Amino acid sequence: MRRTSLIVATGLLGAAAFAEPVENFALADQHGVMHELYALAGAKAVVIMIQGNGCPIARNAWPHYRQLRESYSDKGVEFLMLNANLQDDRASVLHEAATFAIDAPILIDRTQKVGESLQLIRTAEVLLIDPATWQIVYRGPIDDRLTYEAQKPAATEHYLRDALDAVLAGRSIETPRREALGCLINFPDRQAQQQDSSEVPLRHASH
Amino acid sequence: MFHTKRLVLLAFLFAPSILRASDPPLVLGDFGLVDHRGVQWTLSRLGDSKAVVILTQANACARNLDLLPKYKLLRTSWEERGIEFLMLNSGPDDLESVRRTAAAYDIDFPILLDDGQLLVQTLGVTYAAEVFVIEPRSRRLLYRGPLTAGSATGGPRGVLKFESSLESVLTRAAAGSVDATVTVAAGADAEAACVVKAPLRAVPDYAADVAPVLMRNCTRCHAEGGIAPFPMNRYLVVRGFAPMIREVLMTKRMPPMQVDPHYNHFENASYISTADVQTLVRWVDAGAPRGDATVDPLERDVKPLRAEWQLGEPDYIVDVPAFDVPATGVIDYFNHTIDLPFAEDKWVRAVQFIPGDSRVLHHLLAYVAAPDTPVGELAVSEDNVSDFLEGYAPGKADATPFPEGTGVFIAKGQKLVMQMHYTPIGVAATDRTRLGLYFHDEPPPRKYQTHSISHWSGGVLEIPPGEANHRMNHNYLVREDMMLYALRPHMHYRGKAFRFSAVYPDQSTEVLLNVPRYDFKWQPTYRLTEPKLLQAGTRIIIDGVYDNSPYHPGNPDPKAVVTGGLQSWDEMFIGYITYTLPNATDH
Repeated sequence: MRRTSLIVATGLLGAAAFAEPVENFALADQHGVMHELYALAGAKAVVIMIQGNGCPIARNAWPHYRQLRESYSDKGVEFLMLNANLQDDRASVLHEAATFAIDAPILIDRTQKVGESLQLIRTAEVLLIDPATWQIVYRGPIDDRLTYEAQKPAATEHYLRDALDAVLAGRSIETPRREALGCLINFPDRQAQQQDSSEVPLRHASH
Repeated sequence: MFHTKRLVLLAFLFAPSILRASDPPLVLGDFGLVDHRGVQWTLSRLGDSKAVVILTQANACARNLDLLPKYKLLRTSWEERGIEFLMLNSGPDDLESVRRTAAAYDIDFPILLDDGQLLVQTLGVTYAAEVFVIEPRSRRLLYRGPLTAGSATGGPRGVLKFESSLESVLTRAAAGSVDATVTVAAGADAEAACVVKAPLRAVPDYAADVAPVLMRNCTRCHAEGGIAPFPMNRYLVVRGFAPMIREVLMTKRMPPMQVDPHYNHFENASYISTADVQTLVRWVDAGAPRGDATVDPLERDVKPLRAEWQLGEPDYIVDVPAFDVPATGVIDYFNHTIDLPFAEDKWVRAVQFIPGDSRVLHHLLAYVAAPDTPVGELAVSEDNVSDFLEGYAPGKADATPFPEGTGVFIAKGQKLVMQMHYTPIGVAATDRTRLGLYFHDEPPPRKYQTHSISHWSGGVLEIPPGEANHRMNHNYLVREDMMLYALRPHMHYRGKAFRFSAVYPDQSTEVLLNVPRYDFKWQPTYRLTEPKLLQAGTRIIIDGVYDNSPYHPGNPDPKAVVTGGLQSWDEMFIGYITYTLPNATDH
């Protein structure tokens, strides 16, 4: 009988686990105003929505993010946005914000280093951070209303709202992570890193 | 032979779709492929299955045929436990040869055709008869390796027990426990005919290779002022969106309005060649490099879209009432009824739409309706509609002249009914669309007309909650010779696939149009590049598939029983045919 070997692999790159705290960062927003994460230590919760120009899901999510800000900012919740896109800069973000009436601070991450440290994948994701521990206690979509090229008239699940209620009440969040729908963010340095760490490119191992 | 493969290699293959280091490994990007029977399979839509087994296949690979009985036994054991079995042709072999091989050997699995070897390369398939197992909701890879990898225990005195690694994985998947690990079984050396011939290609050059592909396929919508949310008008934008470009190509979401290229050719369908898709994907996978050219072709050549009357000033311009589109939400289709002031009968020879705000006008359909049509109503019945005039779909804001010698008839007193479809874009917008009509001076020889082959009212259409493949079927007998010009499938949000076929008087059959991925949001009337003469006695058959599962994107309510009705959360089943009657003595 031919002997075959079995390799059971665990984990991926062995990098930061989900439960680790977010490192401090400071970024200027679209108006040139500096925002430092740890300066928000006094907030009950910090929410960061990942923005990107030209993404229909991010655009359609913004009015609902704004509604949540209207309900929760007087409860001590800070609402920010973050753009880690290669192709966006302060000028184009200002233009998009004007067109789409976005009046939240959009932190501009030109080097993509903050985006990488937050392990971002797509725009329109929201990250809910607890300043007591600086841990991300929820990350994922705002709700279940939006999908690619389609939206429902109303959400049936309100993930971010429920997570905010839980944090404010000191309860734990049932599903701390959900797959976000939105536009993939190109992180060339991350893509290159993953390629460099390969030994034998599997797809060429056929000969 | 013992192969050491590090997990991180597989990470390289899936680079664009990796979630994060702390997540379970090896998440695949979504993909969609059409099988040898014209049915599209999209991974993210298979959420009802506990696992999807992909058996790679190549016509010339003897091992596939040796193992075929084992594949069938495996399917028999596992399909009732929620495991879906697909084959992936890794040859690559063409459709006809795959069909012949499947028929000859009774290979009754869906065989996904991957002309561009995109999925083959994404998975890193090295030889046919390799097996992959994927959990469709998380899109995690659970297993890769040969069918028969495993370990033996016991014997010589005790019972020799062979435990297949694949079956261990399937056991766990069927029990709903998704592995945090992937099982990789090293394979034995493969015979030459099974080895995937994936040629190494040079990285495409942005200016010389990639920009022309984008201008050929994308920038008619991805330009300023178009329906697309961002313009492809400079390198940096395209580089930033490179992972999205790959994703929408792999799932066949883009370009929109794709039809099965194996059946007839339609002048207003989207066709993107295998070579063009490979150019884009290969370039994205190589990191979307800028290359050395000084001039950026996209920056130089992609101009804002500006509409003008292409056939000169129209004979009559219809101003569609202005509509305020809110920032967000869903706007159901609605109708404008518009009076026409003509003092005599008119024959329309050409039509052009100039959208007001093409970012929000998703499409519109214009019909000629009876004089007594109430405002806002569309006379939709089982047998026919008011005469269809023309539709507008994005990317096709060109003038549409009707075929030589034909025209659409508007009787004196008839009205225009325009069915509007708007989509909110995140900011409020107002649309003021215009429709330009061009008339014949004399009545043309033939009337250009549309008939609906329709079967949805009276309780016949009822889709149970959660049903992923509800089928509807209807047919229509052509009673006099007809010159067929165009076809339009019509279903609502749950529509998944649609096909028009013909059975000719001599009992031969032909697929007229196959739309493997029906999308309610894109509904062009597909115009045959070469019109077909259908003889009297031909039967036109329509087949539709609906998906009311939670895995169908945009399904308004997978828990609802869906019945036939006018609203878009109801369903319809209609195949529109547009034709003239060459032998008609009068109109």
